[in-house]
Amino acid sequence: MSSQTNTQYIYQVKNNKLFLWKIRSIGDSVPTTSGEITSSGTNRVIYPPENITNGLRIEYGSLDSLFVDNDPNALSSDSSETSWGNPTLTEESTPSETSHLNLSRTLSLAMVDYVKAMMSDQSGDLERREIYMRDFYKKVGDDKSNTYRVSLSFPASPYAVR
Amino acid sequence: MTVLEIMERAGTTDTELVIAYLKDAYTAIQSNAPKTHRVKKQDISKATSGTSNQYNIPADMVNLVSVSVLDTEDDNKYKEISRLTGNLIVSEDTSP
Repeated sequence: MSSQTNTQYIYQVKNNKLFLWKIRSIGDSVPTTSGEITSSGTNRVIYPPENITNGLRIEYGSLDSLFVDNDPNALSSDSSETSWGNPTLTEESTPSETSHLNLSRTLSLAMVDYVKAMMSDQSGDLERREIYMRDFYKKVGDDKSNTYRVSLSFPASPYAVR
Repeated sequence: MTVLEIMERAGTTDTELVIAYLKDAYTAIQSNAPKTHRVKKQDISKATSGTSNQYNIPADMVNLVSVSVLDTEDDNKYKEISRLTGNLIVSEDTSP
């Protein structure tokens, strides 16, 4: 039984562990082992005092599968404006030359620049490596700015004629 | 775009090396803006030892979006909880 969990629980992250506490407010003071009832005027935190099945929900971002079996940028079906389907992508755990990259076209081209940069690095041509890496980050930046495009509009001043 | 197309554009024939480079590049891209949104749940247990308020964070996590706790009194809704800033005085309670 848990109630008002949004105000009664707090958490802290330390490295790969999540520490969970419950807040004990002044109103629900209980006697200590020595019979003392504490009321210090501040809230205290205690360890979770209850069992809650599937009680902790962690929402997070993670890496997606890079190598898939189908082209992620092509529709699987496209018969009309209202009838179409996205491709079903299955991860390929052992990628090969025929595997598709699960990326947009722009990011796929960025990948080409990265591979070229690493090939230049391998051959000791550091100047060319820097050029390709710059192109890589430029394409990654273009892709992000296209994805998260934000438009700003400003109201016209009533005294616009000056 | 397939791996073969990448190799042809980069002018190399070493498949395994290119796949390794692609994984590196992908990590560099995704570490800034993760693509997949995931949710994991686990049981909350009544604390019985000094470490029983510690829960595992999913190993594939790149960034944390939110943490919620189930409210069984309010139609089983998960409600987001706040993150504690600063440090507590007690680092471990040996008799919770």
